[in-house]
Amino acid sequence: MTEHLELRSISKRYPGVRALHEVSFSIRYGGTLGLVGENGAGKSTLLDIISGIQRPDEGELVLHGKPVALDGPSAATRAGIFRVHQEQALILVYPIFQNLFLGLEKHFTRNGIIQLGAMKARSERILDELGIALDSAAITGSLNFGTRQLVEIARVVAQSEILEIERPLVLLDEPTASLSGPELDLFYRIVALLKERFRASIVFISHRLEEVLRLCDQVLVLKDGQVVDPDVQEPTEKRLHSLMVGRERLTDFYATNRQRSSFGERVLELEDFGSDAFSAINLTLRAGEIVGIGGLVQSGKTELGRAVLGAEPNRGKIRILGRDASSFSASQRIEMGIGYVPLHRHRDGVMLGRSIRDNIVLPSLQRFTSAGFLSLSRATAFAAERMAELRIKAPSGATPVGALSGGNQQKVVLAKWLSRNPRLMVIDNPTRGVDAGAKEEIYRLLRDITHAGCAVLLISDDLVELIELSNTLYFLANGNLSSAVPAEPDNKPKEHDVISMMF
Amino acid sequence: MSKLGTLGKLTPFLAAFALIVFFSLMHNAFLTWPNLWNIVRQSSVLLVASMGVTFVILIGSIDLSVGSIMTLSAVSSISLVPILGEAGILAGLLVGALCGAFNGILNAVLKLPSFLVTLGSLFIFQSLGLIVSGGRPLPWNTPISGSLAGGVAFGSFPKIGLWAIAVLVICALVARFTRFGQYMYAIGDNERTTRMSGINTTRMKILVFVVAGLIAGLAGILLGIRTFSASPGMGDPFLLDTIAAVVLGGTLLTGGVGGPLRTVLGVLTIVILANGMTLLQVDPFYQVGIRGGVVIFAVLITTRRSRLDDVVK
Repeated sequence: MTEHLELRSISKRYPGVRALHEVSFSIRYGGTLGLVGENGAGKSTLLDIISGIQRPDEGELVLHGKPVALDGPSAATRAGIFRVHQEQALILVYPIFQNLFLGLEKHFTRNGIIQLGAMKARSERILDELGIALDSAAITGSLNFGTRQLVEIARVVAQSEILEIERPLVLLDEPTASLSGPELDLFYRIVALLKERFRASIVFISHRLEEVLRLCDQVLVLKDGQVVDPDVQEPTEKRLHSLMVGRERLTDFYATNRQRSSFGERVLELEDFGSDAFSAINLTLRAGEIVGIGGLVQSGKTELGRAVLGAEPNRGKIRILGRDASSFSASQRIEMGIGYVPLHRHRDGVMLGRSIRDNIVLPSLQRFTSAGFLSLSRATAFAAERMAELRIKAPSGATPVGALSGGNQQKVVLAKWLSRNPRLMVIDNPTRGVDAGAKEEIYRLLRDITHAGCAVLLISDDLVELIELSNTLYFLANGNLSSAVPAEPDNKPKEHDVISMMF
Repeated sequence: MSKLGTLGKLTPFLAAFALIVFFSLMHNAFLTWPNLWNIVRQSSVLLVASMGVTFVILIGSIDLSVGSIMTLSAVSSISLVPILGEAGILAGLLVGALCGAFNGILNAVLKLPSFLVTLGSLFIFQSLGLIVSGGRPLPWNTPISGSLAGGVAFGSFPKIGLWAIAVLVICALVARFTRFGQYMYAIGDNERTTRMSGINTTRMKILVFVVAGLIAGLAGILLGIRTFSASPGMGDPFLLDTIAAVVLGGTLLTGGVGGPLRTVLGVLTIVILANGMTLLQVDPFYQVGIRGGVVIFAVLITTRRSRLDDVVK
């Protein structure tokens, strides 16, 4: 028997969405399977099913040759399936050694007392074996995000040891997004150790295709919830990419031919603009221009967007439409014409329980108010217009935003700001969790607003999106801004040329 | 931990110490043995009651019913003594635990916010206390328990203080060295992660409320022994004092940070402040307000409030 885990015709539906459809593939013992696909292709759902968080509607999982029903995440752990989460699952107030054995404390308990000393000693041995030079008593919350990722991986080893798992299956969900330089090297070494010493099989998700090609001996491409190719032969980045999008990348997808080349007045000027997350940034943004900011997850790019909005304290000077706005609060800057599409849509972007109409009119309530009273009919009509304009698919404006797909929710966020006719949009990851069709519409919309004279500060983790949409690119690495990278429509920089600027 | 600055960690010590120095200088009766025993007596019941509340706050919940549980437990205990003999007092502990189970099940199983659950149960338990007691104070006349927790030991140390210290030590050890204790911190820090790690957080949360109820029951009984009576409303002042003590000690209302050994400092701060102000004959009308001011000031310098737009609820 060579198959560690086999998936047979796995299907999963969510209300209104077919997340996975008849997905079948298998993972060989000791193999490293790369799982690639666009955002929304179903990768996370697939991992959720393998790690017991979701149950498939149809199909079965065959582990070590036997069908299994994984009843929750701890059942998966007991069966030897470990997931290293994209958003980490660590208790930040715990010291490292307690996190390594989180959920398995009973193995260290004598007469009701946890033997913390024994737990710590064992952790130290494991960290040592993995070559992770960390003080096991350090409080996890005091480590940076990348280092915590290493703790998560050490936890796999610790837990499979305790549970006496001979052949663990390790699911790595974009583990390297927050790693850089030496941490990245250490990470690759640990993955190799997992395979050699701990006889693990690995499923690896990453957006960095060159990394997938380097680490994996089998690459599976997922698109719209279906397997396009379970084992791509002679994979190259280009080939994977075309399989992921279903066609060779079209310049048209990003409406690059509508990218503007002449700009209007200066809309945003930053001079020695800094905060705790980034230092002294100088940057100018003109009407009709899209300036892209790239960087790793914790590079400070999200904080930059928030600081421009005024939601985060900042130093230095910021001018909006020529006026000094350095001392202005967020609401004053919004008044001057800034709109903001946040990274965390659910937390900062929309009121999930409120209707589409209420969400759209929220920042412009003044406009629908006379003598202190809100005209609901005018608000409803206005929201309906915006919905038609942005092609928000919903039964009516009264539908709660929580019931919409990610793409439509994002359109609501955009509609809410665009109805104020902003002069500057600060947009953080506009297409995260958005399907391909809605993506294309959002890109068109961004082109539309630049043609109407709006400037866009685009912050994105999606490098291709960033390159294709922007007139000029910058990258933040450890809070420092790179030099400008021009990105004219007929002369776009290549991904691998700019990736080094992120470190 | 990053949620508490260095200053925040030291504040509870400094506050208690500063108060001791201040009152010693202001009144020469403050730093005397009789007054010290007074402080022990005054803080014992509050300390016990605060331990349960500390646990509940550590998991990120809140218990507003603690005072009502104390009352109900105490009046139930003393009402059962004529029937069961002095062992009836132990029934008060059971009543406390049941009250806690009620809170816990509504909170953890039916997913109602603990604030609302315990706000409701505050009134329910209060009403039960009135029914059991008939609405009048009951005399507390129990020789055995009176000799166990009343009076003094070792010459002049109040016995009730020994009980409080015992409860404190047990709670501190449980919090630090048992799975129950460590899971409280984990749930308070990140309940989802804790659950995903295979820990039954629902059961844990119910258990925390049961333990808190049990401890509140004990606090009610100790209060009855100390004041020689059990009356409806006896536990009421403890609701705000326990929460104030926990917060003053530096346990965060958001959960995950703090613990019994911090709460003891909060309790001492509150009791020393009250004791000292009484010695200095501060007008009681002012005393309550000063106490409130101290709580707000302490929280102000304890918690870091760096991000401008953090949502505060």
